[in-house]
Amino acid sequence: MNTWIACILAEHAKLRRTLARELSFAAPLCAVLLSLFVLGNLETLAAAKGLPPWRSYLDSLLRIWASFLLPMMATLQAVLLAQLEHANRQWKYLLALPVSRSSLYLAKAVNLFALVVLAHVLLWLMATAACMAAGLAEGSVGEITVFLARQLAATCAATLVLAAVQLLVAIKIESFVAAISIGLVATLVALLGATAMGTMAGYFPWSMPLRALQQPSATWMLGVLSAAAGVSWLGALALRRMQVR
Amino acid sequence: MLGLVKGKGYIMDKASDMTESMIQTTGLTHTYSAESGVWDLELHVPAGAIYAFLGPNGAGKTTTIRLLLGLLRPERGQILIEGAPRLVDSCSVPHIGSMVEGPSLYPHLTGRENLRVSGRLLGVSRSGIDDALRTVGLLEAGDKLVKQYSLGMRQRLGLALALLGRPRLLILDEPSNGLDPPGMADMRSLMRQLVREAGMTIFLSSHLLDDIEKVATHVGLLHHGRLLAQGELASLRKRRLRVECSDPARAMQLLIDAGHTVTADTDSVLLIDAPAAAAGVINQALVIAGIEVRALGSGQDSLERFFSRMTGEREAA
Repeated sequence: MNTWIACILAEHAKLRRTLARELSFAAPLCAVLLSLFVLGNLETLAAAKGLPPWRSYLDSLLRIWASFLLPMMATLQAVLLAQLEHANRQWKYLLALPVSRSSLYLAKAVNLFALVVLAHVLLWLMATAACMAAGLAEGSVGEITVFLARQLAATCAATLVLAAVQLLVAIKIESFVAAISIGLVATLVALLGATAMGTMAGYFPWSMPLRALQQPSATWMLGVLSAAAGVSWLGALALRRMQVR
Repeated sequence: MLGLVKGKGYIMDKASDMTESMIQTTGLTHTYSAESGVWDLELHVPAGAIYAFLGPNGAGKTTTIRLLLGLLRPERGQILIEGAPRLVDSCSVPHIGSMVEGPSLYPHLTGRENLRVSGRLLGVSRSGIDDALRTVGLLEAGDKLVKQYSLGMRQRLGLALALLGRPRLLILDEPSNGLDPPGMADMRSLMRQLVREAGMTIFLSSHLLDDIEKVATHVGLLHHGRLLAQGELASLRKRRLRVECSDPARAMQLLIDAGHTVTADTDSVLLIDAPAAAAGVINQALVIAGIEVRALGSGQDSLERFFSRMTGEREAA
């Protein structure tokens, strides 16, 4: 257990001054800034849906977040974390240390998941602040924070599969461009092909954050979390078998 | 194996340790293709030695080092580190400090932060990190970002990383890369100190034969993936007589007829495979034959000559 905690802390220490960590702040900020464009048309939008303005605004913000910014952020963060080792020829040092390879991999996954959680916490704060600043929160602050917390908890959990898959891909593929391209193409497929995929979209990792906004069942959510754990375990096995040529 | 612990370092009982193996391989084989890889390596690195692993480019030195560190899996054969079999999991053998093909550093972190990352994994305290920085002369520059370090500073930080956790075995691949002459001298001095005072065993590869000659106690020579020779440096280098005379062609024929192995070093100098005790007899034979002997001396092959003799012989064969 101590070794595992040491691995998590070591992995955390590597994140200082990295773009991966800054993205956890920049991505939610982008989501909030993009969502401001909705404000001009909010009354019409809310009336058409029969929802209070704050709910209509947050629905738009969450769709911007879950459909593109969140998958791309998680993809970039996973690839950047893997590149810390690939780009600096670290594997030949790291894997020669008397530390279990599984612990090293799982520590990396935990830090990646923590960055995703951090981004969601920041988005929760920023989105609430945006509602208040736009005058949408009068008498509804409690409702807004609870709604946001529930929706963001769902997208956060649903992103863990995507993050786990992308980390595995990024560890296996040394090329930064190739690893990013896979995430980008998969995000575009999820974005453009969601309708064509139908119910299958709920099983495509890059569609899962968007699917999570539609009040998913507890079984689906449990399946998502189990899949994230399973893919992380596969990644740990892959690192155990990795040879450094 | 360990005699006593003194302060923060280990003092070894040299008399007993030099006879024990720190690294022992049997039939170690790993191939990339029919021509590329290493075959049937039988390495024996005594504890407390500075073992220089030599060979031309592409001989398989780095492949061997990666096998020793568990970064590659052998197809055949076994590796024992201090008697413990090396498995894929690095936890199977005692900690090995390493620097392979240049230092592995995070350029966005400071030198101290780089050590702290590894220090967390190895359970090294802050004072241990300062010790490592002090040992390689980077204590002052420890808080600078690594991307601002010179090549030599990076090399020294790589060595500090290898020293973290006080391993009993250091494996260094080209440790003098990027160092200026005083830096290289410091590196040699540090290696001797680590062996003498901390009881470490050092396995290093290098292309700088002059540098190696000044520090190594043992040598292993790898060529085309096979171990050509290994042993104590002094015993591997041939003792030769060097004769400068007026008629080297006739002198060479005379000495060959007398059963000596002779090679021409320059136009007027011959090298004879013979001990120093034979100098008198050889001098007498040349003088009786009317050949003027201008100089006669005894010495050992340089490491460079040993290297070219061994690899050249094998290529000729």
